[in-house]
Amino acid sequence: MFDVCVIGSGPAGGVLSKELAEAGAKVALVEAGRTMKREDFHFHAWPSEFPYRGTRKPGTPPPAYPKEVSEAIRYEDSDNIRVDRIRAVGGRSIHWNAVCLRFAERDFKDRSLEGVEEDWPLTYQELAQAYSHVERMIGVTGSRENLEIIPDGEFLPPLKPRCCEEIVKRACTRLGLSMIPARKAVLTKPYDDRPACHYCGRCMEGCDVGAVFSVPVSMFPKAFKTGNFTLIENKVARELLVDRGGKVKSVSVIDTVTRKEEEIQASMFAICCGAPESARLLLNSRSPQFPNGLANSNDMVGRYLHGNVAANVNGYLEELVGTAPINNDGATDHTYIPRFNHLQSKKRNYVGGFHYQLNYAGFMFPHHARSLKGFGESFKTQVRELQPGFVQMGGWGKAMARPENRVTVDRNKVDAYGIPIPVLHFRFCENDMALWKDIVEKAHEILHEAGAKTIIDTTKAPAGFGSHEAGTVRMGKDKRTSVLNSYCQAHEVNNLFVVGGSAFTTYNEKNPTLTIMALAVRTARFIADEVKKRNLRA
Amino acid sequence: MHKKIPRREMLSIIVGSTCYAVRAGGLYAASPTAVHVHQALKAADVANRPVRSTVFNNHHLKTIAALSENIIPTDSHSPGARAARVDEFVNEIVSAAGQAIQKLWVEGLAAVDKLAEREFGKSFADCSADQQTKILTRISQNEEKPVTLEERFFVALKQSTVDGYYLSDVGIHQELQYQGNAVLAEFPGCTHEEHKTGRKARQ
Repeated sequence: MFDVCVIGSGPAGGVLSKELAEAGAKVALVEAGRTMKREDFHFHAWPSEFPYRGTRKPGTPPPAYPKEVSEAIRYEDSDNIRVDRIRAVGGRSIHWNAVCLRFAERDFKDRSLEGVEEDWPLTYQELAQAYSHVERMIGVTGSRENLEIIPDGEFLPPLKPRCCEEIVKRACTRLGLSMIPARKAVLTKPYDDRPACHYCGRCMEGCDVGAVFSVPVSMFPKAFKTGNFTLIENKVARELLVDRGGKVKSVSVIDTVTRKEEEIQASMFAICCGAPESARLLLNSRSPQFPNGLANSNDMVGRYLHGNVAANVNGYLEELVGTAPINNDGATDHTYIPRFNHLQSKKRNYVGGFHYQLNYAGFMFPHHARSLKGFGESFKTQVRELQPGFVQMGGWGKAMARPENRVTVDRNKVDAYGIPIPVLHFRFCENDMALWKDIVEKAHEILHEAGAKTIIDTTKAPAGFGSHEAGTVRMGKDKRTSVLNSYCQAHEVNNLFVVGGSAFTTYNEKNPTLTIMALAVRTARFIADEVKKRNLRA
Repeated sequence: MHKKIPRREMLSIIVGSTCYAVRAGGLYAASPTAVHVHQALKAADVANRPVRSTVFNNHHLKTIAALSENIIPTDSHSPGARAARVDEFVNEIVSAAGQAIQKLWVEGLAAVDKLAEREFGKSFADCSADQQTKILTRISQNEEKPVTLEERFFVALKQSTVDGYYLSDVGIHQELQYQGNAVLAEFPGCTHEEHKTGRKARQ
């Protein structure tokens, strides 16, 4: 019998488990995937070392994304979106770009400030301490800038800008925009027994030395040290079972190796499975007390699916085109253009903002070779000469949280384990489209100002969510229109918590993971306090 | 110029520092000493491997090599698609692809040969360089919106040639002279005054 059973071992579940174990709780962390092996990653390798030159065999997903999972989903009546349903110990923290941005005060107040959606049931000030705690725990590179839109945190020394970024920065200055060093969970000096980054430029393929934060490298040793922590891998959660009083008593899991089903009992449960899967688990947990799914009497579970709307524009700076190649890899993006449209006097036809992350696309492959027309020597020369001038502008914006965009389950269609599959319904609204258009236009404006003669749009229409899906089990002040309170605790079931992007009330342009981890810290402290006050039973 | 640490030295830095290696080992199940040692195929093995195909015959493969060399030719700067074994890459991905893609390739290659026979009385692979260029010029006309079989085939051919070439050692090292995927003690960032201040820069 455990005090807390945490389901899902990504940034949310990993941080929550470690914090709870350190607070003295007996924690079971249940993960549907397995521990990754060295050969599952492509650390430092060259494409020629692999079959298909490192491109994957058509139709074969990477090891952490098994086909039985990726095919067990349906996008129904949806625009161009994809959701990330990894199955691996450590979740998405095992191969991420590690951007860590605090949400701004205004990001919690869309209703009050913009007149749309809802305010969060918590403020920036209430989360600030948890943000600091996470930053100190994981190590975040950055610089103090004193910008309202991107609150400062606890930072390791900043990453240094590349030549192309210096040139874009001057253009930004001329346009009245800020460009600042990237804020990422990448170590720029040895920290917490982990070595500094060695700038191989492969963060998103997994870091072989642990310079990029991941749950297995950074959280598990601390969690195991407490003696309170049990990792249970290869168990996929089918449903949560409740007792007569409507409290969760156990989770029914299926072993992905033996296919046997068993129950794991605990006093409290925390679902940390990512936006679609957390909602799916609740919707699949039906009982006489909760015929519509656990904690779903108000039909809010699965609703308000949202996330980032993304656009990508590549530019080729005249100052650098044709120059001798240098090593630009570094730690993927080194610089960041924070949201600026709220500072400009020009009236907008949409609400919300966007930011740009520069140069996470990588420098090994000449991306423009896939877009330039023609063939022969002139084509080859053009590809070669443009490459040193390459600068990538990855634009990320707010997509609105709307009730009709949702996750449901199809009871007639089950996955390899007999569990009903998730069905996604998502349409971008006019606001999302208008904002996306502005992301593209402003990227062109900045690149043009920076002296780019060749500019290539690699996205032709709004795309979601770039692994930043959110909503579906949202927190809110009003119990009629939300599932959780500000501590990620279910309104209806007090020993049930849902932690992660799923809990977000609304979204903004910023990457979600730091806020997900801060919510996990806040939830862990709340649980510890409630147990002390005897409001919750451990 | 960025300061590169030789691979061997970096290996000893990482492996020598046991706690780092053990901590990183938490990411995946492996022994600490396996850090930075590749178990994958060596580039040389790949280059010398004969092409075996379930989709293409030898004439097909010869034609693919000639077509891809036309798209990315050997020039004074570096070798082209033939040296980068793009034919082998194409065979690899097309063999693993679905029927529709395999059909496009086999029929596309036949259509190119038919065109060559009609225009020059011989197969594409046997045409002169000038004649091959003429055929490529013809089938690449509608790259943006391909309609005919030959045009759709060209788009697939070019995409695969681009991927195969720029993911090869020839494309990465000899042609683009890519300097990255290295282990650095520090990343210096831009060290050019003109990029930082705009002095000397073109307007």
